[in-house]
Amino acid sequence: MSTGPLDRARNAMEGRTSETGFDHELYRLFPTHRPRPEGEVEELEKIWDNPTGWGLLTVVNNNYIGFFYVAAAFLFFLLAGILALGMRVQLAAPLQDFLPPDTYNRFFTMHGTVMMFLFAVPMVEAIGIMLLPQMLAARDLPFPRLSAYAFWAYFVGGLCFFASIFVGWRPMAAGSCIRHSHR
Amino acid sequence: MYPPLTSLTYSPGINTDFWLLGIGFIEISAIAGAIEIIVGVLRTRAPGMTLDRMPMFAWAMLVFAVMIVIAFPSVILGTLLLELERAFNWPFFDPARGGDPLLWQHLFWFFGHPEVYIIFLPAAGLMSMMVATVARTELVGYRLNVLALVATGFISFGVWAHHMFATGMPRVSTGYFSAASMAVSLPAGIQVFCWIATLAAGKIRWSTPALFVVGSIGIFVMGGLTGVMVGMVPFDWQVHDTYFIVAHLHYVLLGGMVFPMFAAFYYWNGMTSKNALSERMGKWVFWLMFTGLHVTFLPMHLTGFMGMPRRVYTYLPDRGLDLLNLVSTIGAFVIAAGVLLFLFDLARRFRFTTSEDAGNVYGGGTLEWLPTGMYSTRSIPLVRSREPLWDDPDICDDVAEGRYFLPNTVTGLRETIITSPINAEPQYLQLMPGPSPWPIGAAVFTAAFFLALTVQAYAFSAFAGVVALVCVLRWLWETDRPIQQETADIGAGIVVPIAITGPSSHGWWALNTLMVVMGMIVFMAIFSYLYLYGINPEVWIAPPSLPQTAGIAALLVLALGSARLSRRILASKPKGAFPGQAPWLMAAIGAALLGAAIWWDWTGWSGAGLDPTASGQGATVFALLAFQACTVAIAGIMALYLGYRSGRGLLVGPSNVTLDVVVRFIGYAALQGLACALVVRLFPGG
Repeated sequence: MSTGPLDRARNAMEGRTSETGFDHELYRLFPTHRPRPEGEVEELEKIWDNPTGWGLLTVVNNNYIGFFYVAAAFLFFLLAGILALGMRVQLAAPLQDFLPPDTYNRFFTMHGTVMMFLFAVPMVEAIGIMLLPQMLAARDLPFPRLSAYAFWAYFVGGLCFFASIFVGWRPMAAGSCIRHSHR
Repeated sequence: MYPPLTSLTYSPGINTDFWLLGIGFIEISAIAGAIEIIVGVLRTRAPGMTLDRMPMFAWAMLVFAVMIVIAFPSVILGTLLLELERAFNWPFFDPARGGDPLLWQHLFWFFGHPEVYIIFLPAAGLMSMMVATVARTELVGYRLNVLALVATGFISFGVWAHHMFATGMPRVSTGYFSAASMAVSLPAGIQVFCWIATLAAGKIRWSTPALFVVGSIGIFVMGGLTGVMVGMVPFDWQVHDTYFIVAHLHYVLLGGMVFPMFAAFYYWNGMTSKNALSERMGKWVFWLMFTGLHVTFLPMHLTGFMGMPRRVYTYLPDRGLDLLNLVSTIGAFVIAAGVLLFLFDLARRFRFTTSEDAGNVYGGGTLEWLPTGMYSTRSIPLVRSREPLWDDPDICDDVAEGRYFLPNTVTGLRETIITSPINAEPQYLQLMPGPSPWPIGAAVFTAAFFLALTVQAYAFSAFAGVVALVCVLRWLWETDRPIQQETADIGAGIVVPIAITGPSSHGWWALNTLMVVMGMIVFMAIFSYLYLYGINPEVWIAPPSLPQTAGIAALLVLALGSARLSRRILASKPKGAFPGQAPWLMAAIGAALLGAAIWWDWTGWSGAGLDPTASGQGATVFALLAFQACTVAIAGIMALYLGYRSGRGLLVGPSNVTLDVVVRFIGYAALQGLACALVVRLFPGG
């Protein structure tokens, strides 16, 4: 029998051998039967309890961060959808001037960019952060503070990025018009 | 966003800078999430959940995260290079000085095409799980599906240039990319057939998620078919940049991602909300969105054939486009009505909760439907099959009564079990950090750093950068606390160590993933260097002398050695003993050697007469040097942080996570420096 790394991995994957030396016979001990001492659940609740009010800004638990994340990504979905409606109104009939050309250009650049970068990728990542620990029965993701950081960076950066459409820094379709002189 | 249109000449003002830095910044956040997901999926699965028993969504997220780690560095590099060209006039994309505008397209689409699958794969994972539940039978072809996910990931990196058929590539490349584009539809097809087979094998209950799931299969297949059409080069030339493409991409994205997402909203709503969403209204939402989608995008195939170009703000009357466009507009508002109705239902029924949730409304069989609180499940179950809740009717009670792993807290801190990557055997107990204001502080100031860069407020930008850095260090400060207890009983008398160091630790895995990200940036930068050499070799100058190159390499090897020595010294100390100044000093010396090497490298090239603004060679070489300089700066900060911790007595023998991370990073920086220095100095050489 060959024991290359691939074979070892396959054997381990199919549960024939142990990967780390852990004795699989120990799995037979579960579910255990002896009653658990009182107060364990209360202690878990206390340790995992979350701050409330303004303290919510400091939470790192995936239940909250995942939910914030999904909600934020959905917000950008709605905002980019409104831009799409604007474009469709402009195109409802030929030669309309509901949106002037450079505004239209900004709208479609923003619609595409926001849908891709602020909605689609963050949304699937958000659903992952929300569901994965539960699906894997872990208490949280391995780096809770990193996911909090990733969310807030995305949210703050995304809002500023979107707001740029209102304050004249908006990204234009490349080269469509030259209005500002540089520096 | 293609140069030369986005170069300073044709896009003055800060609009483009804002786009570039904004996108670059958001991608950093995506990469942070991807690292989290890779380590989470591979190391925090419940005991017994072998790779073969992992939920399909976890598989999909694993492939997704790996693809992000490989693809996103390319676009980060692309945006950095374009920003460097705009801010400092380094001619990466300027053909007059040995750059090439097509380089941007290669960098962008190497990311851009996998991006489509990056969005599609997790949605496919969600679909695979919901399909099984709505059909009330297990997924047909689990392993085939996993294979399809992995194959999609692989092939999608071989098709980027199919977005560039119209750029006049060599015919052989065009043929290859066309064939690969068709090959990538195979794994997607396999998944669709698995879903259809599952739905056919089971008995469908027509709930709202079921409608969205089945609807999305139909829409996705339609988008896939037009995709195969566009994959053929002559056809692509015909419809390139018309509304046919708009129709195709909206069918793919709505069917492949948006509809599965709505299905998932309904399906998993019970996990986070006190009330289930309304089924009656959900059906209305579905039919409005489904009809609206076809009314909007079906006519666009026709307007595309008639030659209506995309990205143009209007069109002329009497070209046969008037009616079709009006229909599309009406359809768009029908979709909007569906979304509005969904929002109304959310406002009425959705109430966020972590413990009193509506629960398993649709009868799923995977672990997320175990009874949970903020601490997730009371005890962490032993997984014996792919759908434990269907196969073991007692599992919910057993988990809630604490009859499985870790029914309590061992150390009084937040903790979870880390298991082995393939077989999910329990390995050790990880201590987790709790709430903290520092991550949000770091995030806000990172955003401020990038924003200030775009408006050229360099002083404020530097200030925000420093504050962000302090926040990160402060948040890390308490994550590596010395603990008294060495082992933990995680149930049934099974004892595992607490918070280990070395190759099995989750921190080590995260750091390795980060190194892959940085390595990919360097790899794509070297690709750019070679690409520009291939395009325009005559403007290139000879590199500095060979002895100088050898000297730089020697410095870097020494840096690597001193980093390794630092860990050796610490490892020789007995448990809990303070190791003195030697370990952190060795790390600091390593970082200093890195600094000396990059300084010598940089001045060497300037001395040889290379100017970053002069040629494509100058621009790419100095871009590599600048990236290495940033890496070295981070290594230096890490060494000082280690020194500070050491001074506070937090560094004790025989091993320490912080020291491990710092010296491994210094070692990596040395190898990266070697790659940067050697490739560009030895090839093409004098």
